[in-house]
Amino acid sequence: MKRRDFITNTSKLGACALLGITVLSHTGCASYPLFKAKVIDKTLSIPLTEFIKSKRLLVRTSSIEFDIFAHEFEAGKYRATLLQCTHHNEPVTVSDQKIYCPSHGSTFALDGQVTKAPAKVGLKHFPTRLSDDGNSVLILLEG
Amino acid sequence: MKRLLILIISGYSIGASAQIITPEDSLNAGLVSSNNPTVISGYGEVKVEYNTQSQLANANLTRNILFFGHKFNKRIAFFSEMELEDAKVEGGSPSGEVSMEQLFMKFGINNDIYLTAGLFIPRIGIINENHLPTTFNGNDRPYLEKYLIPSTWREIGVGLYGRSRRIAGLNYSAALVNGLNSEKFGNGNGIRSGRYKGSDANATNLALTGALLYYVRGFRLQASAYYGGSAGIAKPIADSLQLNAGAFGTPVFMTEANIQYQSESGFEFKAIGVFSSIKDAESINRAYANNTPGKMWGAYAEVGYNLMKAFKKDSERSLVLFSRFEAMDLNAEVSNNSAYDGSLNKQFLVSGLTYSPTRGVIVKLDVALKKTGTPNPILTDVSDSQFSFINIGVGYSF
Repeated sequence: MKRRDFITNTSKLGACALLGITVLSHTGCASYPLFKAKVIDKTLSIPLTEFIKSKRLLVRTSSIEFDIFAHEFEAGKYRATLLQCTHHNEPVTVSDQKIYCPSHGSTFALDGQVTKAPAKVGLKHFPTRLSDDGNSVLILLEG
Repeated sequence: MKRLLILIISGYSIGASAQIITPEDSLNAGLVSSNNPTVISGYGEVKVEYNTQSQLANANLTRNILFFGHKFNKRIAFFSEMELEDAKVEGGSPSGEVSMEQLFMKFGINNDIYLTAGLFIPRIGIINENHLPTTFNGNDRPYLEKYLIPSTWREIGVGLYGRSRRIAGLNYSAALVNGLNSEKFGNGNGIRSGRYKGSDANATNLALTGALLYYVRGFRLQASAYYGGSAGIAKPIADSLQLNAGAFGTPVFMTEANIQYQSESGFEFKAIGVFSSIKDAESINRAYANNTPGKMWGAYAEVGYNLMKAFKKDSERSLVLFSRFEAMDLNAEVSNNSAYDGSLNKQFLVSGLTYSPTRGVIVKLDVALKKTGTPNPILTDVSDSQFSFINIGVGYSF
């Protein structure tokens, strides 16, 4: 391949990548809603109405330096996953299909299981349950 | 030297004692469950290679890295990696190297953004940031990311890392680091020898680098760029050498884009394209006579398939059959006062197997074929134009 061709092709690739990002960002890959919660009695409470808006959401609290990925993985069943890589404790990124650590390349399934090293241990989960009145999902931080 | 040995031995001792007190496979479990603020981990690789042309074999402990990290509070942490290459360092003889591969402080701004300050590895290419032996196929790191992107490329500076709140999976980074030293550029090594690697760096010249990283539909897409000065010398000296001094004087530009994909069924793919230019190459050659190229380019593509997926879909073990083709020209454009060397127009074909009996452990077998253009006998050994290696090795990371 000639240098000129290579430069031309690389430029096209870059343009396609940017175009792709733009297109994909408008076709269902928008970010998950961010829900800010306060810790009360070592518990986070997420109204069920939030899960009606989106089955997947990010929960943020000032008490924890990593977000929690809360999602309804089956009807009426909820999982709360700490977005902290189990390799070197870096923040991980939730995509549409997987959870990624940009720092060292570990990948995790949306259920937190390791799909690619260097991480060896799955992401930490917090136990969840419905509140007594059935209107909220409770994330138990001491679990 | 004695102090160095004591340091290394004590490093291993700390690592060993940590292994005793830390439950098996629970480096992180300890951190999460007991809030242990200190992390000890590492990685390394050993290789035996057989040169089919010379019919000679070589065995080498390529590298061993000790990682130490400490979390001071929920927003401030320390990271460091100390590397020993080629098993030993001996005064007065050619041997290995002990160096800090990273040493930085990390300051969390919020849950999406953090800053790094110190010696760190900017996000450029695939291997530079993710260089653990368990993350790439083949015993040797891709040649492109050695000769063209000088992995592991670390410099002292400040970095900003973050992720988008608007687009899930989109990450970004930007960094300001010390620049390069064009006096050390060389024929065949591009800018590699011009890195300071945190050692007495001349910070008069600077470099900016930035990257966009996007995870979507199982793909990892990244694009990055680097622009930095390479003549951080006093202006009178620069004037006498007819070089442009200043923060971004005698600049080096590099850009790359890469894509990675790994399917649930075991198929994996990655590709990268890199372009680099040194517009003042003629001035550098006039000053230092080191045959600095004006432009360099390169690309590689790799496909692989995890054979274990055919037998047991959810197995932790993996056996990846892979093949990678690399092409690069490290003197794609030469200035009027430098010489073209056809041996820097290289192609590599690397194929083999990567077996992981458990996460963090790797056994590798590969065959690497190299072919180049016609060497310039003034610059390169003419016998170096074509050869093949058979490599076998092991590696770990935890």
